[in-house]
Amino acid sequence: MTMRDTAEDPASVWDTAATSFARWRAGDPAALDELVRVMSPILWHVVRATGLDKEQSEDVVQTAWLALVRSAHTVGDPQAVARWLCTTARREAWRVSKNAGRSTAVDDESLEWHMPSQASPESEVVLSDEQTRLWESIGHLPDRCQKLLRIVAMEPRPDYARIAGELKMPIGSIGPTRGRCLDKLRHELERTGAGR
Amino acid sequence: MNPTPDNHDQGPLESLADDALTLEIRRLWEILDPPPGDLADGVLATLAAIDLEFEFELLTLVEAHDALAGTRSLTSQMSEVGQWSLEFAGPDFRVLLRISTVNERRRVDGWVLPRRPMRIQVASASAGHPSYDGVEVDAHGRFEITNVSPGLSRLWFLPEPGESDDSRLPIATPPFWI
Repeated sequence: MTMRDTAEDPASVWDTAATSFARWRAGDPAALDELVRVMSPILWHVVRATGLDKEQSEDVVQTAWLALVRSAHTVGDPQAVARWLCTTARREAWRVSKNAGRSTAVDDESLEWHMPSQASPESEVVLSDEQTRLWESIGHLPDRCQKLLRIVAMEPRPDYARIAGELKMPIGSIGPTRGRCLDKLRHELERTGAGR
Repeated sequence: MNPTPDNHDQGPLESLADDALTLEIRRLWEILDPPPGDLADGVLATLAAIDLEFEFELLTLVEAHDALAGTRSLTSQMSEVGQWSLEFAGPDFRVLLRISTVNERRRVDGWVLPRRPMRIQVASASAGHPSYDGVEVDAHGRFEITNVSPGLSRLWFLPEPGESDDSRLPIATPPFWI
């Protein structure tokens, strides 16, 4: 088993979400359950990537779902529902973190960034050798790169223009910045890989 | 940038293309920071609870006309070919409905007064909450909903978002047979 077996194909998750949403709008209440079960873990990661703590993140995920149920008719094409949810959740997360005051959020966050063993103390985290190497290499990147890579990684098809706006970065800069951060990461991986 | 997305099963991490390496970052975080086990259940419980607190203005039935002469029971009305009309009203809203049958499916023609932007949908009477797209009223306040399953139902009149008065509540008829 490789580390690649652990996650579902992001594209199929998007399609499942679209199908469930279309069925729900056509009047099948059970389809909402499916949509919630498929998309909630993704929303969790999208929200956590903004640096909110766990309790706040759960609240934000719930808020995104309430927004969907109350404004389902604004989504339009069912294919857009996953992105709509991710964008709504991320915006709400930025709003909450602004209101909470940045200083405490950053303190908590920096602890979690640099102490993987604390990221989920209640569960036993088992990383493969390659994942451990990846984790250590990420830890050597500048904070800005760590944060950006997490944000763009957690949403299967991120909307770079929107994320640029939310991060107050120039539109069109996210793609190149992601590329530079990934290059730095490769450089770190090569450095640590040499000693294996 | 290496454009091949599927080359990540070979070679070390540093040789992965951008998208494949990003995917590995995602999988790492999925392991390090899993969502709470009851996340989806909590969301579903919250969504179920808002059904209970969903506020709407309830109309009352003010008039019912049967196009066929004579009386008949609700059950015979369900299956019969027929046409009848109903009028519901609230403090500042009125709707006239004509229900007809085409190939054992119902058709609802309606007229709202006053005309304002809204979406109208038929839902099962047991659904506490409207959940999907409906039809729009036309410029004269008329609307039609075709191919409706017969049964105990209610009509929802949902204000369009972004209209001048956001405080308007959705309006619903009491349950009635379609």
